[in-house]
Amino acid sequence: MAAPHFPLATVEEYLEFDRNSEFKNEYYRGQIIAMAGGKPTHAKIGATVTALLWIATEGRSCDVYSSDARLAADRESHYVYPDIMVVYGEPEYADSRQETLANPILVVEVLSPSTESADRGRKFASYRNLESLQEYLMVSQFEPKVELHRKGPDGNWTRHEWTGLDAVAVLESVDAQLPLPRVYAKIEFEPETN
Amino acid sequence: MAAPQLPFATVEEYFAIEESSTIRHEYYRGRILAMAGGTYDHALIITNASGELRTLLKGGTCDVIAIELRLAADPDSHYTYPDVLVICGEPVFQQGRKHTVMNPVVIIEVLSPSTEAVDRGRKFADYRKLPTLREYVMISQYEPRVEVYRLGLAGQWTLFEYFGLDMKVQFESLGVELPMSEIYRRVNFEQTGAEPQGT
Repeated sequence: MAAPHFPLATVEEYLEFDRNSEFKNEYYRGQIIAMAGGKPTHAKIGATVTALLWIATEGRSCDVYSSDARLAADRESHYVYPDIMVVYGEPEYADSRQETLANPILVVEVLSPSTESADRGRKFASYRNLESLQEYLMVSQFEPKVELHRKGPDGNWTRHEWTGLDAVAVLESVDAQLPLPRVYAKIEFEPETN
Repeated sequence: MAAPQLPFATVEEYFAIEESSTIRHEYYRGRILAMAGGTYDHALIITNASGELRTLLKGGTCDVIAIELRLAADPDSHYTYPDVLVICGEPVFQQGRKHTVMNPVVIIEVLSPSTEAVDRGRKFADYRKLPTLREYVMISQYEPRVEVYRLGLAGQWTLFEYFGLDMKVQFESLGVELPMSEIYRRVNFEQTGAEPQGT
């Protein structure tokens, strides 16, 4: 379970390391975490949702980012590469080099067994502190199911869920609909390994 | 992470094994999963939370039950042993099954690295379908952080978060509040160290 531990790094050290690295790295409380590649199904769903979001928001002043964009989930302690981000209006950056986004309105993660714990736990915990964020979407790859947390006017996060191949998820943050039959159009579901 | 897996089993086979086994198992969609022991702090937090809740609820009709009781999270496919269950009024047992309850009002899970994904994911997914459940509570063991999903009047689950030892966790379904300082009494975060790092 425990991955090899490197000595604790500062945010600056991490950013320098990540800039010069051949693969992507995330950062959490001093630890630099190399990102593994995803499985084809994961990548296919990510690409499909990215495309659907791009089409749904075309012509409006928002940008859809794929998983190559770094996010400062917490400027002091947490840097990640979400599967998909949407930024409304002008992008804001966490660094002077304008390499790290800071103001997504929507973050999407496609769940996988090795990252589900972080996606549901510490990443979502940091995302909740992003003032710009209105919705957080988690997409299953083992069944037609998407889970959405939406921030209410009172600042509380409420769960919404759509399941089944005839459901249509509603993303209020970007005024878009996400039909599950399209998200999963070309996916053959495999049973989740334990 | 991966526990040794037995072949796919029916619910009947699971119960047969449970009755003859000296260790507890959970069941999910055909898989029988042996339960590992936890850390000192994990166990201490369960004792603190359940003990304090029991004190707060003393004299009422709610029972606080830690660790030992099986829950039919989904009678067809999912049986678990939650860290803490609160049952108000009479317990409802699953018909034809021994020692398996169906009607918790509150479920508490103390998170660990090896079980966090299922506690947040598939377990909560089935717990949400329990008609009696009002609050689902997840307690971190590495920092003073408690997350409560509370069922709203419109059927939606809303997340409430408590961070820091001076806060009190609201149990609206029970009408009590549990100080974080009690949940984490004698838990030494520095000694425990940072959360073990996965990917």
